[in-house]
Amino acid sequence: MALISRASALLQTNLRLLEPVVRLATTSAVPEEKKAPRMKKFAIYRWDPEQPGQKPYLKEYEVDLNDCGMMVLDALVKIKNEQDSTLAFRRSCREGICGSCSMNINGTNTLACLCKIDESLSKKTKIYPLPHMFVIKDLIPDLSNFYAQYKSIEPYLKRKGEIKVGEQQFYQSVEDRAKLDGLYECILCACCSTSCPSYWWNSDKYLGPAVLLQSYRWIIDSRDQFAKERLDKFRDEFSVYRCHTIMNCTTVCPKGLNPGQAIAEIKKLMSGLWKEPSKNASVIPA
Amino acid sequence: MTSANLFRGGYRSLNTIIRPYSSIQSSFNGRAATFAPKNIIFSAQPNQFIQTRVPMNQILRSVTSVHPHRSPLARDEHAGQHWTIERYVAMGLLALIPGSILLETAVTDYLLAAALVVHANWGCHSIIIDYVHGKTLPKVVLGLMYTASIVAFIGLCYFNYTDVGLSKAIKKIWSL
Repeated sequence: MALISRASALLQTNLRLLEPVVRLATTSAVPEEKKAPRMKKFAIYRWDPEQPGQKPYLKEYEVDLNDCGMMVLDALVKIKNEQDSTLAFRRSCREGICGSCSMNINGTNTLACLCKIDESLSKKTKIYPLPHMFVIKDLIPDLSNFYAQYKSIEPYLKRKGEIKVGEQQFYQSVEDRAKLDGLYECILCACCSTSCPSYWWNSDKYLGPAVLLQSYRWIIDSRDQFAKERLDKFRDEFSVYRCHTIMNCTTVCPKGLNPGQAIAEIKKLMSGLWKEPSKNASVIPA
Repeated sequence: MTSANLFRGGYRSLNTIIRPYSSIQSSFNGRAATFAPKNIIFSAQPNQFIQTRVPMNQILRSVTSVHPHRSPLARDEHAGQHWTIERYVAMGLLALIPGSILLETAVTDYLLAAALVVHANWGCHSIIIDYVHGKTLPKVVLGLMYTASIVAFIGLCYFNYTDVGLSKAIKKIWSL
């Protein structure tokens, strides 16, 4: 009681000073004074397959950055929730581990969930699907060809001779395991492949950086016994040799990997001048 | 789709999420993809297609299943060696260009003529493979390029034989 009477006395003496405190008591959610809305414009590529003859177009949306998470994916989810439920895009983990939300933001392929919103309100943020891919709807590219190429490199452990499943493990030394660092982290978001001009012009025949990085990951795996056969499959003009070390792949990789280097290593092995790294056979049980 | 059956027992039924008779297509800049379901018949008018009733499973398969339009590739058992020789020539040119200008001998002049033509030829070959697509057009363009390379090599040899030679000519142009 004493507190309340003291508060009311204070109220009488200095109402203005107490204003924020009073508001805190009533709303209790916003601790600070309400900021002016920071409206940010997003121009998003739209194309709907169900509208016959419709051409793709850019649609603008405005989002208050005070009321939105800091990443582009937060803005997309907010737009879909509050403004336009017809907007289609892929997303899943929202933390850069699933590779679903890859798209072209302000001219750079990246994951929307790892791309911070540019806070300058005068600039529009332009969002397109991954470049030079067939579009299924809005920001959703058709990755069928990309996945088929991934399948074609047989991205799994291959052994010569019979494997008795469940009876033994294929051990790997710490050093051999370390060779896979910088390769196994790839999440197949296709940011690199779709940023590669060579892949734009020849995606039907050239495998592209993501798939070649994955291929190199299996070529140098100490437990895999098909390195030679894997390399032999690439002996044509297109599969590997359309890489002209443009290095867009390495620039855009949202995981900070270096597909360009992996392709260079494949070229080195295919030249025959370099030997594949010694595979530590001593730790593999016969 | 009526709004009445939007919610059924609290859940959206599948056919409200994926419209059963829609024509799912893929587009690149509004163009139809190569694997558009065959049941969708394009009418004579541009940008208009007749939507036929396509079963949902067929549409889904056409979008989600694997469509590798990977053309059969010509095997090249020596692809690795080609790459290696190209690097050697490129590295050799780094030494050959200043070397021949310093030495001004007939041997280095002819070597330079051969190396330059071969290097340019491989560079153009790569560009043509990248950008010239189709069945016959690449062959025509590659043929033209090889002819041009041979003519260039003969020309350079003729120049070496009858005139001052490549290295002296480069020096003369430089001195201008």
